[in-house]
Amino acid sequence: MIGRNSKIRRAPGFADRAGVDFERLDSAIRSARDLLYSRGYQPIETPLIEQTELFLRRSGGLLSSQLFDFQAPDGGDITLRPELTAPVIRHALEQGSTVYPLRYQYASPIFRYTERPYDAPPNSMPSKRQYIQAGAELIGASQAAADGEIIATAYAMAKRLDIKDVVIRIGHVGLIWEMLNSFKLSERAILFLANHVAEFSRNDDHGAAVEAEAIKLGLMPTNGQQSVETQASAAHLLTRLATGSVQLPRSTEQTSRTAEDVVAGLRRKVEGDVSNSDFPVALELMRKIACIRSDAVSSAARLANEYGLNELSSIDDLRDVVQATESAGVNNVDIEVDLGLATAIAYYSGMIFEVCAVIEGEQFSLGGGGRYDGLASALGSDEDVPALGFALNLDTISELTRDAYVEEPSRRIIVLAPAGAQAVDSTVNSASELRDQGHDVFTLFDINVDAREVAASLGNASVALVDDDGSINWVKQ
Amino acid sequence: MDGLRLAIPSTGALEQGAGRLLGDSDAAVSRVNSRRYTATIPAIPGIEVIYQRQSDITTIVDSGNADLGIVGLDRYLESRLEDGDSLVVVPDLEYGNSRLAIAVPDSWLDITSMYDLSDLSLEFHERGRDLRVATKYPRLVKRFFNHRGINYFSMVAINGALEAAPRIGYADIIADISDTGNTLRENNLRTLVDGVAIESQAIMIGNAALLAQSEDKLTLTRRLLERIEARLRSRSYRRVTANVKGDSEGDIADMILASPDLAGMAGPTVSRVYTSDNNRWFAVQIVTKKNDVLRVVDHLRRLGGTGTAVSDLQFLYQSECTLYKKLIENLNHFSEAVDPC
Repeated sequence: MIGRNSKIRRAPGFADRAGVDFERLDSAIRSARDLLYSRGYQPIETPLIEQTELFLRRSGGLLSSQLFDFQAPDGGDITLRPELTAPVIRHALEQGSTVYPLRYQYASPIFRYTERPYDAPPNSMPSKRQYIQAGAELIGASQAAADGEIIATAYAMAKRLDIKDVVIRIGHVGLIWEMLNSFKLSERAILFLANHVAEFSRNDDHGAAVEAEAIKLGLMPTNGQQSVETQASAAHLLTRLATGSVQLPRSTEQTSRTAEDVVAGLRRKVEGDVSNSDFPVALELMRKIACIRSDAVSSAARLANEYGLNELSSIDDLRDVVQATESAGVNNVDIEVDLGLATAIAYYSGMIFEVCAVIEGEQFSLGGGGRYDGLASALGSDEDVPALGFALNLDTISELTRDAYVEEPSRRIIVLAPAGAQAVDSTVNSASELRDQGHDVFTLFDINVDAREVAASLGNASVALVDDDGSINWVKQ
Repeated sequence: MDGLRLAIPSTGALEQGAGRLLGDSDAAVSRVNSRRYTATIPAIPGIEVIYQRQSDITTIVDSGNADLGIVGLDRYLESRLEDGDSLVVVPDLEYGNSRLAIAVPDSWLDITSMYDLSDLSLEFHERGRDLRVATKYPRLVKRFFNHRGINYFSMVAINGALEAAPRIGYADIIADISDTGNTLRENNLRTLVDGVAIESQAIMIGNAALLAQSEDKLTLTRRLLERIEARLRSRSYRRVTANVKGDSEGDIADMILASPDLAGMAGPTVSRVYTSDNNRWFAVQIVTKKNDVLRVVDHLRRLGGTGTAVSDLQFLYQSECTLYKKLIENLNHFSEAVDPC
């Protein structure tokens, strides 16, 4: 609770930027923009606020749980943008251009709510909830060369921003989906495995928790029984309803769904679900694919063959992407293919990648991107527009390169002070004249303020006193 | 001397549990009558107990109107100010266990998991309406739904009996606290298999700014925490006593210590029993974890033990009060905390 006289604190997770912190971040923004200009990316600034729906369509559960969403005074649901890809695609669709490719760049703040756990130590602050994302979107390009360009541009940006050792981790969600679609699995089982693939390599339990969750959800057949989510169980229930051996509870009449809705729901399950008999095999494959570390493309191809999955086009695509990335200028030794790579955003459809700084052997994520060919149609486009992009967190980069930052000489400024109480007006007039001559001027109004002290606090400053007749006397410092 | 104000829920299971726990901890609350909303703890003069609605206690502590409060974890997470002054002092008071569960009408046979609910919310959305969720926990439910990929829903604010909301058409489903699930079942509602948003229990919270400013308040807090911690700890232990025949205290102790994991917290207490038949009997006393009692009894039997008795402990104090130590650490961090952004 904020008392009337208590000091107002900054909202947690939000930063002020001033002095050298501002300069450092501003310098990073300018460098990032320069690099993107040189590659043909045109700047765009989208609104801070968008309709919430824009970020709900395909962004996925994690991002939608991080939205700063509100109800606008006009009653609409609005959100502080949590990323810039969807707004840029929205813009491109609104423009209706058919001349591809389009190249957009941005370096703008985004907002994501991250919860501070209640049992976190009191001195642990929430991670930043606003930061600058610098990135690029390449719209209307389906070739692997475009993937190579985007990855190489992200790599070059990290290098340009003084990250000495950069590693690019490349994954491929399209490959995961293609593999899973080759098995007898329900849509739900496919979604579950695709969403959990990263946990196989991340956790020490080798996926035991994922398996337990699958059993709980009835996706994983146990003890030779079919899973509870199977066609069999829903069909069985329908048969029993039809024969009258089981009846819908009477409360159906008193809910917002009719008995017909429920039966239709069961039918959809029967039609949509398969037995998930392949679930254990698919889970095993995901466990193995996520843990591949060396010679990843060939290993993935071999693994796919072992499981009878031949001619997966995504393997070829992955190989092409890696080659294109090298051709576009990324050192081979800086590329790691990691098929267990996960992303917080659900709209990616093919290659995904993460840009990491390596500092004293430890990797720090700077951002990433990927291909999101289905996003345009999800946002209302009549046609699928192939597209891809990336964004790096400039706040993180700016912090990591704090020591390497060389302060640029600040602009020379004149501290102009009245020589006496009657000289305030002439000081203001002189300041105006000096500004017209191209000088930066910092005006003082109070004769009791020590102008030299003010100049010292400003850094690169000179001091002048103005008499009431307008004459300027420079002060030695 | 500064007093310490402790806020306790005025009704329900949390109020009763708090009364029992404090009573068992030799810090019984003395309340003139049930209509009076303030009380004292005679064993610890200086503590004023105030009875408040559970839903208000987090705010009362956050705002500095109480120094300490007993509240459900669920309520705390729902209401706390993330950058407020409250902090958790006792993370589990070992009562008030419950869970925030997502429940649908039991006639919805096709909806068994959050995945089903996600599909249903999309279906509703395509028909131009939202899935309506009745709950008193909008903050927690929203986050849980979003994490599970459910984005199209709306919250229905309701203060009365949530369980009736789907039946009267006020909401489609509910998210409510349930301890046994009986109330849900009796109202033709069913919890989804993966529909538990949070597991909860009673906790004690405190206002860090108030506590850090006053030695008196800290002294009173320590007196309270010492009792509660010793009481809670004692529940996990039992005292096992038996008579064992042997040559000397040292021999008996050696035999018992041959299995160190069954020899008690620090080791056995052995003392001579003087009998009329001049046999050398010794009384052995071991304080052991509740789950190890039978193993300790068997161990003593193997050593010829007889007349084994097992008794509860009332309090078990260790060399220091862990809860108070943790509180002081957190208060130190709190005063140093500067947002690095």
